Amino acid sequence: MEHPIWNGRDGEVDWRPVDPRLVWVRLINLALGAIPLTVVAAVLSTWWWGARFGILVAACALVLIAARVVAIVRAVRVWAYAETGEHLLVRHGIWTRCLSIVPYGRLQYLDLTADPASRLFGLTTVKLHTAAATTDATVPGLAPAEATALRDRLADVSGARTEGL
Amino acid sequence: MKPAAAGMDRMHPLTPLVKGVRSFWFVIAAISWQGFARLGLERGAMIVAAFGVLGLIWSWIGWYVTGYQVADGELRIADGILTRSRRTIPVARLQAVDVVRPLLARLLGLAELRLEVAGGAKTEAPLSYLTLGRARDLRRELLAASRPEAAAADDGEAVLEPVAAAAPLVMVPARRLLAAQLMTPQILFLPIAVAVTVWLFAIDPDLSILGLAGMFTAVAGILFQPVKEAFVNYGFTGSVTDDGLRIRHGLFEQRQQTLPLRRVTAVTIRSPLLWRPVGWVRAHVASAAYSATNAGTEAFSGRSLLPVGTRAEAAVITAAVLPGADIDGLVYRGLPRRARWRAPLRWRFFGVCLTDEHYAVRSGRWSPTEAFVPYGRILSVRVTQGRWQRLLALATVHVDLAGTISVSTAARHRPLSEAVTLARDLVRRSQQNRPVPPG
Repeated sequence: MEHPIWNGRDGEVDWRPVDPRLVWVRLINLALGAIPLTVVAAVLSTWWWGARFGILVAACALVLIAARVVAIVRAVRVWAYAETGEHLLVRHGIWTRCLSIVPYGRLQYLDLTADPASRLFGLTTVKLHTAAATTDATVPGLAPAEATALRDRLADVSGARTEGL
Repeated sequence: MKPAAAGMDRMHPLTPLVKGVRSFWFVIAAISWQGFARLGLERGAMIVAAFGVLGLIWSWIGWYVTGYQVADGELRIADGILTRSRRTIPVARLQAVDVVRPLLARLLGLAELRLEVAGGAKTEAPLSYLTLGRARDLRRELLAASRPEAAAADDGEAVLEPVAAAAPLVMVPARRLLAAQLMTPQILFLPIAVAVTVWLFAIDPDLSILGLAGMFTAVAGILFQPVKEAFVNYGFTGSVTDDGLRIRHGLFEQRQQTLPLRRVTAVTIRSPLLWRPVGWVRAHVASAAYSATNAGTEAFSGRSLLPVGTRAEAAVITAAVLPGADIDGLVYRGLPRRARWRAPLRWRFFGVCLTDEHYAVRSGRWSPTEAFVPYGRILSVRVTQGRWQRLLALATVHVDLAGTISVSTAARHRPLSEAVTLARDLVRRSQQNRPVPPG
């Protein structure tokens, strides 16, 4: 992996990557948002300022979309989580890297969500909440079996050692 | 309309009067001077009286249907005239108890009891109004019942020991309060703003009439703030009793806040630039009770541990709130020289220190701030690394706490390997210092 220091010493942490199909989920969501916007912008600018301008706007939009596609592919590749005996680790981000460590005992509740694009691929997002609003530990793109298993395991261990605040 | 449910206590019978008078002022404000001028004094007075009587009746009905009860480790409150509501608050979840006494209530010997629970956007259960003695008894009862030991005891019956009246640890003289409030940027810039407006007026009197009027309003507004702060924090004393941290302050509206020490999530100390010549600092205490939404409003002062004081006073109160914390005996670990490329002006001022019980972090060049966090209150830890930080092999360690705190608790721009070790260390220590689970 490209950043070994985040992985812990001597492979003591067993990172599990998120499902690679998450790339498609994110690309579909991107396409749903960006393509209509690009078309509208191109058509309007053609109408107002002429065809040359319309092509320029469309080209710019395509470059931005391409950059976003690359970012999505790379971001999904580094997004991973790991369970240790005491806490859950989540790492993500390519521009700003982030490693979250959440002790099981501090877990308040879990959110399982699946947007329509995720449901196409049968993927689920698990979000961990503690009593702190700033806790940021989200694991997207889990197969339903894996997500529910993770949820049950987390509910088990946090139930065993709950103290909340 | 039903009376308060069986077995429940009512508030003090004078409650509708105190609450009704409040609606009285609303009516007067709503009609305003213009309204009075148009209606004539007599008719205006009659309208005010009519609304006042209606308000009194409404308040009386509200009082009649409101009841409270402490039983089985729970506080139950029933209220609501049209929509009945019954709330049940587990006492073990209690974060803080405030006794608030507005001026009128004080004249009548009454007090309001406010209970803060974790995560509540606003004060969950104001009990208004009770006699002062009843409010104090109830506070003691609730705080005693909220202790983990009490929850473990038989049938939740709390043992009531008399609370020793502790000598105040800090007292803030009124003169210092006012002086400190005058040493703020707004006040110092006031003469300049006035001079500019007067100068503009001298150049072109016609244009600046509006500006002049605006200036008077602005000056009044700016001066109002320090005066209000001085009133709110008047007679500020902080002490530590068996119940926890106890803070009292207020000239007209008196407040007495009690925060159990095990609920404290952090203490922060800030030395504003303008106070540094006289060596004054400001200290805050964070807890899950005073959350983001009420930080902006009245409870802002509620988080104050020391509105203005010397560093020695801050050290005393911090040591009392976080046992074992010695704010002047810390050796902060600084940053490597390469961090100056990321924070050229401030890099020397960042520092972290791990003591046996607390995590301490320092930052800021002009207004240095320090934060002290007991390990047991750390909920999660994050390590982040931005693009520039990556080029310099630096990373920031964020510490997530319940409640809002005005000062960042992040250890910024640490060397990467140190940051990862620090994060693991903090998590491990937070596990070892886990608080006792409630109930």
